Order: sequence, then C-alpha cells, then structure tokens
Amino acid sequence: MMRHLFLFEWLHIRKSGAFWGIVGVLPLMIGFSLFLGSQRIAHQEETMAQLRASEREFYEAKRQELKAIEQDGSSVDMWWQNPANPLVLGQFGQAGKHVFLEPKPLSALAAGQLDILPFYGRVTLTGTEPLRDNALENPFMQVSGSFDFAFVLVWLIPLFVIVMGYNVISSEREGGTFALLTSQPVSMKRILAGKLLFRYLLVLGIILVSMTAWALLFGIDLLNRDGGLLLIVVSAYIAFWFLLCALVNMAKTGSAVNAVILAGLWVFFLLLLPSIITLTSSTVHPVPSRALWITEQRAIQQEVESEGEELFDLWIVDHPKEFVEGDTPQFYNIWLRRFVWAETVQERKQEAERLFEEPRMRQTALAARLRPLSPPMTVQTWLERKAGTDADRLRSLDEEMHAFQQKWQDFFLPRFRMLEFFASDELKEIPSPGH
Amino acid sequence: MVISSIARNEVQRLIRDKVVTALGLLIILLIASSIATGVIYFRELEAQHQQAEQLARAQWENQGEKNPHSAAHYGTFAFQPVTVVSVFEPGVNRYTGVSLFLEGHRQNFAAHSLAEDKDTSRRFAELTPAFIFTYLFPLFIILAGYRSVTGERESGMYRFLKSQGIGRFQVIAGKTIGLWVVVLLIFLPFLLIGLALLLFTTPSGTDVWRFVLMATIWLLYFGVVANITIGVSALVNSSGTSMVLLLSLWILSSLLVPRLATNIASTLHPVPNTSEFLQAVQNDLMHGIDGHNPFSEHSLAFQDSVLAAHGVDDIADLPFNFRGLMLQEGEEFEKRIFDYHLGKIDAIHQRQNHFFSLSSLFSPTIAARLSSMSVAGTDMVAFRHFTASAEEFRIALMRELNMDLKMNAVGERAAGYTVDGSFFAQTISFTYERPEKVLLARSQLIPISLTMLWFLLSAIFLGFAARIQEEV
Repeated sequence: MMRHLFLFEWLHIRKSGAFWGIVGVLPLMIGFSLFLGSQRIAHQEETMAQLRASEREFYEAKRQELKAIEQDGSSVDMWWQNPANPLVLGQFGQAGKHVFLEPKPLSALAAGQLDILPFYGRVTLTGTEPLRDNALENPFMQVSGSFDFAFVLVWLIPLFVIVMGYNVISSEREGGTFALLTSQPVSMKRILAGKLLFRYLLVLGIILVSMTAWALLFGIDLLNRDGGLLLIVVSAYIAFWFLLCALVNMAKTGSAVNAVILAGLWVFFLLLLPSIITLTSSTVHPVPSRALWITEQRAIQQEVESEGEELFDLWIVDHPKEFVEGDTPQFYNIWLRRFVWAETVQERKQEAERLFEEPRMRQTALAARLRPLSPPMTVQTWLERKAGTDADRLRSLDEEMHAFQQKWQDFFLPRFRMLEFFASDELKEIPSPGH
Repeated sequence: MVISSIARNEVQRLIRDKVVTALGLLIILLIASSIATGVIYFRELEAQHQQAEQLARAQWENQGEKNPHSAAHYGTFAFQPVTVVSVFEPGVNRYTGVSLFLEGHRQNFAAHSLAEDKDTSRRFAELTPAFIFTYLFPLFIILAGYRSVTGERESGMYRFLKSQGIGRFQVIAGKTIGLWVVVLLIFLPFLLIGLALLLFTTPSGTDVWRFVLMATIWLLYFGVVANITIGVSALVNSSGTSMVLLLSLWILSSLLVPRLATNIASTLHPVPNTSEFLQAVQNDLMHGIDGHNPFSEHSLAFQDSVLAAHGVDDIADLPFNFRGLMLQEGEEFEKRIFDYHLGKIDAIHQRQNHFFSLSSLFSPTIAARLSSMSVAGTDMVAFRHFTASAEEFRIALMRELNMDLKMNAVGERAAGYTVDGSFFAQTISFTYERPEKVLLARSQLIPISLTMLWFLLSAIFLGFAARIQEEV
C-alpha cells in the first residue's frame, strides 16, 4: 500500500514548482553556510598554527642562545637579555604561551558567539589576557548574525517543510479529489501519514545528500559520533515541523488558512517565544554594564598600589624560605614585589568579578530553564554546544587560562624567587597548555 | 465616495476578524511591554554609566602626586553614552564596547560590549520596538491584507461589485485605505506611549525629532508592505497563492537577504585581525619619534633641530623641558599613525556598510532598519562620533600634561619633577555632547532614500495592479 502511496505522491510532487524550487535553493543555502563555516575553521586553525609556530621559534631561539653562552662561557650585559633568566622566559616580550579553545568536530556548523567572544588568549606570569582578534569587526555585522548551517536548519528549513506540508489534504479537498480518496479502502489518517512520511523522507534526503556532498567538498568531517547525533537531531527537528503540518491538515480548513496557521506557529516558535523568554530572563535578572566593573578594577589596582610595601611585608612573613635575602639585583627586588601585588590584584578582581558573574549566571540559568519551550532554540543551543561555539564554552577560556597560568607560575616563580637561572636543556620542560 | 465606503467596509471586516484583532492586540501588548522593560533597563544603564563616569573622574583626580607623564600612562575612561531613543531602536549599541580607555601614546578600541555578558539566546530574538516593527508588524499586515482582493473574488463579491459599476481601481484604493487605517490604529498606541515617554524623560529637542523621524520611517516601511500585500492579492488567483507569495517575500526581505548580505560583505571586505593591525601600527611607529627613547634616530634628529632653533648646544640650556616637548611631539606622531590605521579600518567598515545599504535594493527591511538606526542615532556613524570626541579629549588631555611638563619641569625642578594631587582636578574633563543634528554623514541618506524609493516603487506596483485589464 505504502509503495503505491509513495509512487502517486512522487508523480504528484514532480509536477509541483514549489518542490523543484526547494530542490534548487536548499542545497545552495546549505552549501553556502558550510562554505562559510569551513572558512571560519580554516582561519581559526591558521591563527593557532601561526602562534604555536612563533612560540616554538621563540623558545628554540632562547635555547640556542643559552646553549651558545654555556659553551663559550661568555656573559650577558643586561639582565633582560639573559635567556636563562626566568623573567625573560616567562614574562617579557614574546614570552608566554597561548591557550586555545580548539574547534570541535561540528565547529563548521554553528558560528555561535565566536564573533563576540575570543577563543584564545596569551598567558604570562602576571597576565591572562583573552585576545580579541575580532575587536575590529564591524559591530553592524554582529547585529545580523552569521549565515551558518544552524541558521539554515533552525530558521529556514521549517519554512521549506511548511511549503511541502501545508496543503497535503486541503489541496485534495480543493482540487476535488478528496471524495475519490475517501472512497478508497484506506483510512484518511493513513493516507495523510503516508503522504507526509513520503515528503518528510524527501526533504530529509535532500538535506542529508547535500550536507554530505558539501561536507566532502569543503573537508568537513561528519563521520563521527557527533555527526551521528546530528543526524538524529536534524531528523527529529524536521519531524517536529511535519508533525505540526499533520495536525493542521487534520482540521478541515482550507489551504490558505493552513498556511496562515503554520506560518503563525513558525513565528510563535522562532520569534515570539524566544523574544519573550529572553525578555523574561533579562528583566528578572538584569546584568549590569561593564562600565562599573572597569572602575572597580581600577579601584582595586589603586588599593593594592597604596598597600604596596605592607602587602609585601606580609608575604615575606608568610613565605620565609621562598626568597633570597641580602644583596640582590634591582630587577629581582622590583619583580619580587610585583608578583606579590599581581597575585593580590588577581585575587581581589576575582572577588569583584563574582558580583558581575552571578547575575549573568542567574540570567543564563533562567533562560536555559525556559528554552525547552521552543524546539528551535533547543536545537540552536545543542548545535552551538556541539560546535563548541556557545557562550559557556567560550567563557571557559578564562578558567583554562588561569589553570594554565598556575602551571606556568609553578614552573617559573619558585626559580625566580630563589634567583636560580635555567640551563639550556631545562628549557624543553617549559609547560605547554593542554598537553 | 465609493472608495471611502469600501475602505470603511474593509476596516469593519478586519475588526470583526477575530484572528486579526487578536494579533493586533498582541502586537500592541508586545510593544507596550518592550517599551516598559526597555525603559527600566535604560534607567539602570544610564545610572551605571553616570556612576562609572564619576568614579573614573574621581580616580583621575585623586591619583596623588606624580609626574604628569605617569598620569598619561595611568589614563582615564570614557563611557558609551546611553540614549533614551535606544529603547525603541537599540541599533548597534549592544555590540559596541561600553568603555574606551584613554591613555598616552595610543588609541584603544572600545571594549566590553553588552552582548558579551548577555545570555546568548538574546541573539535569537530581542523584544524591542525595532524588532517588532522589523519582523512581526509586516507579518500582521500580510495576514490582514493577503485576501483583501482574492477573498472578495473567492466569495463572489467581486463580481457583484463590478456589476454595480464599481471599478477595479476603486476596489483596490478602498482596500488599501482600509488596511492603512488598521495599521495606523495599531501604530497609534506606540506613537502615544513613545512621545509620552520622551516628554517625561528628556527635554532634548533632537530626541523628539529622532523619534518622529523614526516613526515616519517605520510608517513608510509598513506602507511598502501594505502596498505590496494588496497588489499581490489583486494580481493572483487564490488566497493561498497570495499568502505563500507574500510570506516568501517577507522571508527574503527580512531573513535571508540581510544575513546573506552581511556575510557576503564581510567576506568581500575582510577586516584584519587585531594582532595584524597592532603589528602594522607598530611597524609604522618605528619610523618616528618615540617619546620614551631619546636615543632613537628620529628623536636625536628632532633634538638637534630644536637645539639649533634655540641656538643652544645642550637641552639643559633650553628655556623649557625638552622631554615634555618630545613627548608631545611623539604623541602627535603616534596619533597620526593611529588615525591613519584606524581610518583604514573605518574605510573597510564603510565599504561593508555601503554594500549592505545597497543590498536594500533587494530588501525593504534592510532599508528601513538602517534608516531607523540612522535617525535614532544608534548606528555606527553615531558611535564613531562618540569615539572621535573621546579621542579629541584624549589628545587635549595629553597636551595639557605634556605642556605642564615642558613649561614647569625646568631648572632645579627638572629632576624628579612631579605635580601635586590638586593638579589633576584642574585638568579638562570629558562630557560627551551628543550632536544636535539628527544625521551626521551623507552615507546615512542612502538607506533613507532607498526606503522612500521602495515606497514609491510599491505604490507604482499597486497602481499597476489596480489599472490592469481583467476578465471577470
């Protein structure tokens, strides 16, 4: 029976301009979105490769210099030129290492918040500065957002589904073939189910075939666990919209009314509900502007500066065996203090940061609780998360940088404090993030 | 006479239509609540930025005794102005940085946009009047008007009207006026709430103008949608076709073309990343005076020229502090370099925006949105006006500091020169003066004229649909 239904559906659809329109347009959109996605990843990987190469070069050069000095026993005039000095290796100039949030398997599919939040930063002994590579982007471009696969899937594909499904039964009624259908020994529900199932498989097929083809062309690897999950999510999301079509078709309304109702549902799920959800979360838990936070940071800086010597004396008392007494070089005396102050500033900043983080986290949590009400939002969030471009992951950069800074400091600071310089073969042990 | 009764009839039909009424009321409700929450947020933001401004100034004034050039490195901040009009049209405000660090030797980028801290679902949809007008209102017009003519045809009413001697033109004109009246009925509450809000918050005349112009832009945009809706309804055979066609146009205009255009614009005119930019600046800075390095080639040349001009051999014999002069000279040089490189970035942005403006030939939505941002003063042009004023202040402040060093750090006071804390309270302070003119750049006229062009084209299209010969 199904075979017959599918065959007739195909003969029917073959004649429809809308269907051929979809066949023409949808693969192009998917292709363009994946093209932009693959470019984004390529750009990211290029940045990472360049920075890693320059890091390697820097430390290799230092090692060679040091080796040369060790071999001919020469000395260096200025302390900041000495490649054995922990400050030179861990703090100044190009010293330090970059911490990256690596692209994930599905990164090409969703740009997420990558245009707003940085994905890497440089760590030195005192600094964990996220690098805003995109600081020069045109804010106007950020307003409208990226044309990524997530956009095509979440926003546009439902519209194609609606075009394919809004008049499955109503058109039969309007074309006068409805009576003919009801005279068949098959229930109306089965016919509706069969027709929609066929169209569902057709749409899904177009999407999957074009995704696979473009992914192969642009070198995007979808043959992994996340790719499998993606298949399930895409199928389920499209099924959701076909289900809505089925429900609307069961009512005995005309095609135009069906189109209105389905378009209304689209507007409801994609525009209305999300805007109400975000309005609710941001009104219940407003996040203050960073303007105050900036002045707060400066206040902390001033506070620590004014407490200067006092803080250092306290540190001396707490760490009696961790520094060198007596006649020490000037740079040592200055930087020994600076590290104590930097640590204090960082601690106090974290405290102040919490005042801003908490409302933001409450806002995010509330939005996350309301989000399941809108399947499109759920799918969008899922895709961003799998792409690793969601705000939570990008914000985790701070933590990762702090964690790595800890390792960095553990490696260099004890040596600096005891004024123990490095030997060239020790430079191989300089820590790297994520290894 | 006939036209007005058709129009009256159309209004009545729409008001009796439960779906249309319900959606109309929903839109009014959404507008009202978006304004209400927007105002609360605006108030908070305004208070925060004022407080931050005062704190920053206090921190500057209380930095204590120090060398003026240390103060230049210490720097101060300017904060993005908050305007009440942004409640209606936030424009790019959420995506531009809220603070600008003003220090010696360099121009910084505005940092910390509101979008960075917001929950990400905000990008999905943000309930502001501009959002409602861009997306929801046109849908409402389409819904109210898609079967204005096809419906009459399908019910047989059209034949009846024709037999009464009523022309196609009269039917369509009446329908159009009717739809217009309904649109105005729903827009009116927004106008009233908006004007009331403006009158209660700021007395600035410019803001009222901005609001009025913004409302005009939106009305023009609704006019475009209404004209196309009635025109399509008059030209096609069935309500279903009319609906599908109009919805497709809406999707193209408000969803597809804007995203495509921005992504193509940024692919065609890519912006260099920050590190490349800073590297380029650094390279150019090497070719000039470094205020901190008196031994660089350029600094020495400058020193020689100053010494020669004053007929002395040693900078100690100069009647002023040479370092102060050199810092100022360096500052001006650095400013030229930064201006040049930031100007290049600006030119790229403008090319992107220009491309985007022109893409409104395919999308009246883009034309309207860009125009509304322009007249609201929340577009990039307005933001650049702010950063330019802050930069003007920065350079003036630096001059003040350097001149103090130049004139007063002389003779015995030269070594270890400092100013006492009270000095900083007397330095110039920054308050951003918003421009009194509504439009600042010629480029802003492009989207506005394109909006008008769209209105004109849609009217011509409607006229064409009304005049076409037909068989009934």
